[in-house]
Amino acid sequence: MTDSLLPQELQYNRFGDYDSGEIALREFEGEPSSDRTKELRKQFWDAKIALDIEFPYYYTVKWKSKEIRGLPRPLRRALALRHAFSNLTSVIRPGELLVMQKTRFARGAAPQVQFSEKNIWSAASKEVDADDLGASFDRVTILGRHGGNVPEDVGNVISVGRKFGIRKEDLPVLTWLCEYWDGRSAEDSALELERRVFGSYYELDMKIFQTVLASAPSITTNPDGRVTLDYRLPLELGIQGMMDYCQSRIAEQSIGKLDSEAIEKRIFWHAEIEVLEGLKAWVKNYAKEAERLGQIEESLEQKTEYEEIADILYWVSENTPRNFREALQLVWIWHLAVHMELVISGLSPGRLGQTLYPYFREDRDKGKLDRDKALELLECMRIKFSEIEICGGGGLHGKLSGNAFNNISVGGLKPDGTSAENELEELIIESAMTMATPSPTITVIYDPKLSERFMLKAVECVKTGTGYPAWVNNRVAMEFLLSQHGSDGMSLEEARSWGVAGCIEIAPAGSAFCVACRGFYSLEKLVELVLWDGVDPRTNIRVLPPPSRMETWDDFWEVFKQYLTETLTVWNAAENLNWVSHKQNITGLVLSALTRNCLETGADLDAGGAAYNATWASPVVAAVNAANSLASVKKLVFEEHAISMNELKEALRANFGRKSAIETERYSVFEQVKTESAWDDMLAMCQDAPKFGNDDPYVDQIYKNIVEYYTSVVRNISNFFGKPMAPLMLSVSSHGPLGQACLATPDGRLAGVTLADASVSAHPGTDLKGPYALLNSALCFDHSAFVNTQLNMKIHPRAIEGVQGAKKLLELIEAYMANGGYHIQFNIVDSRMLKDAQDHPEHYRNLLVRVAGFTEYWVEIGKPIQDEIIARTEYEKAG
Amino acid sequence: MKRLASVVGSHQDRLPLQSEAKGLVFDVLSFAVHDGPGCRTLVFLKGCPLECRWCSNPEGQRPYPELMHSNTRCERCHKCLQACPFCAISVDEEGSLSISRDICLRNGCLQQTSVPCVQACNTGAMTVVGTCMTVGQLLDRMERERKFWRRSGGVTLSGGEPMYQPQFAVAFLEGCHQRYIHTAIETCGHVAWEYYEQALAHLDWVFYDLKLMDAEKHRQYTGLSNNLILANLERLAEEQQARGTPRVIVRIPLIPGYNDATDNIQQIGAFLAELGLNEVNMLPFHRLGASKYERLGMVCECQDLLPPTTDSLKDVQRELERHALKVYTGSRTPF
Repeated sequence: MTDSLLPQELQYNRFGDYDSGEIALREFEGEPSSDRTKELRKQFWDAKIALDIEFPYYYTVKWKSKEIRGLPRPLRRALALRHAFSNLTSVIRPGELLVMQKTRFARGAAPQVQFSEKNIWSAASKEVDADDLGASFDRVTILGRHGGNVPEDVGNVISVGRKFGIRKEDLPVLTWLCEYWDGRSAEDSALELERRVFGSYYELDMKIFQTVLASAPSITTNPDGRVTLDYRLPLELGIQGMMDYCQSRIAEQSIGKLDSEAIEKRIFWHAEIEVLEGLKAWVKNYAKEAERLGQIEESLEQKTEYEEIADILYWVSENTPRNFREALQLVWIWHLAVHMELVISGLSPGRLGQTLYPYFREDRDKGKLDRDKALELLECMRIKFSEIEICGGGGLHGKLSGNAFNNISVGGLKPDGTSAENELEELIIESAMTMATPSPTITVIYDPKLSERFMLKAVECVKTGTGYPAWVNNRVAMEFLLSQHGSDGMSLEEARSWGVAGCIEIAPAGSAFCVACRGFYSLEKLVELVLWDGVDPRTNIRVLPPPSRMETWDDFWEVFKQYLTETLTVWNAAENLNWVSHKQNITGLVLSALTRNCLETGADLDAGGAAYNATWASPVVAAVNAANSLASVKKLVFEEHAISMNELKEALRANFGRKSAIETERYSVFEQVKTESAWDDMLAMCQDAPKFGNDDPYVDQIYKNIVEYYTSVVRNISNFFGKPMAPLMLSVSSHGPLGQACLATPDGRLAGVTLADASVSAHPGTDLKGPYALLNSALCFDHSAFVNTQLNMKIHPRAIEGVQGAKKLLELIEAYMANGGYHIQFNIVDSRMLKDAQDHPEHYRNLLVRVAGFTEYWVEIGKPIQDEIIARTEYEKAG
Repeated sequence: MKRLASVVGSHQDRLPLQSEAKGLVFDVLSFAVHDGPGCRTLVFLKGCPLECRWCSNPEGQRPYPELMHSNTRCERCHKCLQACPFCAISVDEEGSLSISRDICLRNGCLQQTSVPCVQACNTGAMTVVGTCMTVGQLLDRMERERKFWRRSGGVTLSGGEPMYQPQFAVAFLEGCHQRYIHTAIETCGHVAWEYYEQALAHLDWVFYDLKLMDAEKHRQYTGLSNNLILANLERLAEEQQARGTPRVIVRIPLIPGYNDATDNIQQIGAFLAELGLNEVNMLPFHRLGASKYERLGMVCECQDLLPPTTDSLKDVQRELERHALKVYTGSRTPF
């Protein structure tokens, strides 16, 4: 719930981040279905984000203890995890139906110092450690200051990373933790290893971070993620059953055949048993706490609820669930456990509506669960998911803006090829409307076999203006999956069962090795490197040797490709090297239990236990900006000779005679404070040059060339398991800081201005030919070659009013998908945004207002009229 | 401003219906959802025989390209002034620009591909509205839109008055039908019937404006009498009855103080009932177009007029329904 300083339309809330300010003008406004969930939501809104040292404290105490510190991976880790889980303080709040939380506080995270301690230390101590790689990125990151954020110290609470609050009395523990892990953390060991064995590539890698050609390495922030979970084993075997299973596999081993491979399996199963014991103890502690609360509670109603909770927790601490509520509680426990053992974002429950459906259906058919109760439970689930925070220092938050990307996919097909929609999934959508929290976000897997009724229900949810559900294309996803994993044996049924991982990534369901990413790579910064012969103009660091020739457009393009190949290859290869430390120190053991076929194979994820081990390269950002910049250079410098290369560079250095966006704190290209007029003509030429998003083949072809070349480069890079990496393009909110790190660029963008988001969204304010032209541009290449593409679009609510309007929005989505588009998501403009558009019309150049037969851009409408429209539309709603 | 002869050919010309026929287009809008069935693309042709006081597309009135100058985007750099070879631009005491548009017209500046004042402007404050295109070019543009219409959408011709360029409009509509594109038109009715006749062969839907039944008031408020408009509507209704096509929806812009009096509404209701046209789309007055007037150097007479109240909309709806008409208000349409 960050309230970013970024302009409204560029803010993270596309992914479902809920702004608790007034939202009028929506056709549908949701309200929590019961007083209970209303109260829980209020508590969530009131809560501040806390940093809790409990988990890492107990983890570290065990990790360094004499008995286990000589043990090999992953057993040492398993024992430390068990100790941590077993010793956590249980906190249950009155009114909760689903219980258990990440920290002692309603909203919070733990500082995962075993991953990285420098970033956390500099955030807590407010001193920047010179070795802190995240510092370059942090310096350019601007965060929100409102909502649950703790941007400054207040009273006995210390602000960490301008986001978290930690109690003063806990600070000595944090200090002790950081001191212990200094040199031992996965990040430190990864970088030291890289320094020793990577040769000159290490220097290049460091320069990539220092110049912010890419954001800080994932070992510093969050290495794990972009994955869906398989809850099959917990649900079908239960925690005890899983322990029994591991024991039986150990018992099967013949003592006379214990080679190194068999030993590693034996160790792994023992490790899993330790972790399972830890989970069991953790759940039982909570059960005891519920019992205790039940004993002292005076209200009979609440007392009964505590007793119910105790009964449920005792049961699921060992057994398989007996009903829907227990199944949901058990899924929550496991989901939470993964969040606690790792620094992970994009951990998605996947097709939860499919997973839980049998329990739901049975309860409903037997009359044990009415719709209202089911809805209430799902609303409680939404609060739970939203309470999850991730701590990784400021750089992480600039990239993620506080969202943990728990993504539930609805729709799609069943393994047998029929539509997978069901009543539970409809309720999941309904709960997203009544309880509009940031998490979990919802994605509709669009397939022509889905019923119109189901899809129109999803459109209703879109109309609430929260930004979800997003829509993704089942056919494109299946094409990608079978192409990416077919050679590893992926079947058609498995392809149909896929779920969205992270925000929008195509991933096999609960069966894949996952790497979140090393960071985000800025293609606009690459353009700068080409312009300045291999030197970053902002930091003056030379990243690459100067090109031999730069006389024609073909030369320019060749250098672009060459620089891209060199930097991208080293940067992605370093990920594999860094992963050695991940495997050594921070393997996901809870995560491995939830990934097919780790338990069966006897190997954790980092040892190749997953069914599918092909992953993707770290994402590139701002392909659209790069295409726009290259189009300007090609046209103005090399074809029309309207500007010389030197004149262009001079203008860029001078920021076209404007103040930097960093200075003015205005991050749109049109909000400018001019200091001199000498470059006005050049700026106009650059801004008027062809822009992606207008169905203009001149620049669309350049875009296609960039992304296809990028694809060819990463397909030549091996991942940790020797598989070719797949291309990935998305920004999360990194396009903010990455933009702040760029000077003025040939696309007419000013210094410090945020880059285009997503992967095929136009740069704000440059798509001037309407929605179909934008979509045509987005369709200029093959989406099924990519892990995802991403498009955000703004639509006025009047355009999709009523059932007719909903059907038309659906037609737009279907047209985009039928023609090969993978993802689309909508910002339904509401009066809050219209008000913002009044103050900042430059952000909304392309916002159209439609009335029958009439045309006008919102920004052209005078303020008095705008006021009237805002008022009138609400008035019409009342009438 | 005096109405000059159309630069694209007079009504007497009968050019052959070919894809090279040229027309003046002032906008193409995608994802139009209230101008016919399905998701559509709106094409706006420039030029109109009427000059309604409440017009919300003033840039569509005159049949030649015009300059639009935005004060909000203007930086007052005066480059346009310096670039103009005919001294058509000057600055008043407050520093605001003043454009002598008759000079632009006389010198034919805006017909050219490169207009000096527009080229000189760095902020996009100075623009030209009205682009010349051939039917072929416009049809190609429609093909780029087409994939988003799915099976129920299509193109809606609007403006201005699309039939003010009859050869172009008819050729375009014919071209659409040849390509199996669904067609609709938004028309004011003041068109020689022979042109409607040609167009009807290629039209699926017609949105027909009806503002005032009183001829004198009609002349007073729109510049022309309504005789031709009413006569055409009668013939259109007959056509529809005889052939079952096109679908006809009568559009009534409701302008408080101008045409919302009960007697006018009652007469409209009776007239339509008699013709057997029973679908009405009532469009409440709005001032979204106000800034366009400013940018065109025009004065909007209805500048301070307020939109109709909810109650008055209800009254009008009730009156029309008394005549057994189906009334759709604003964007609340069943298509």
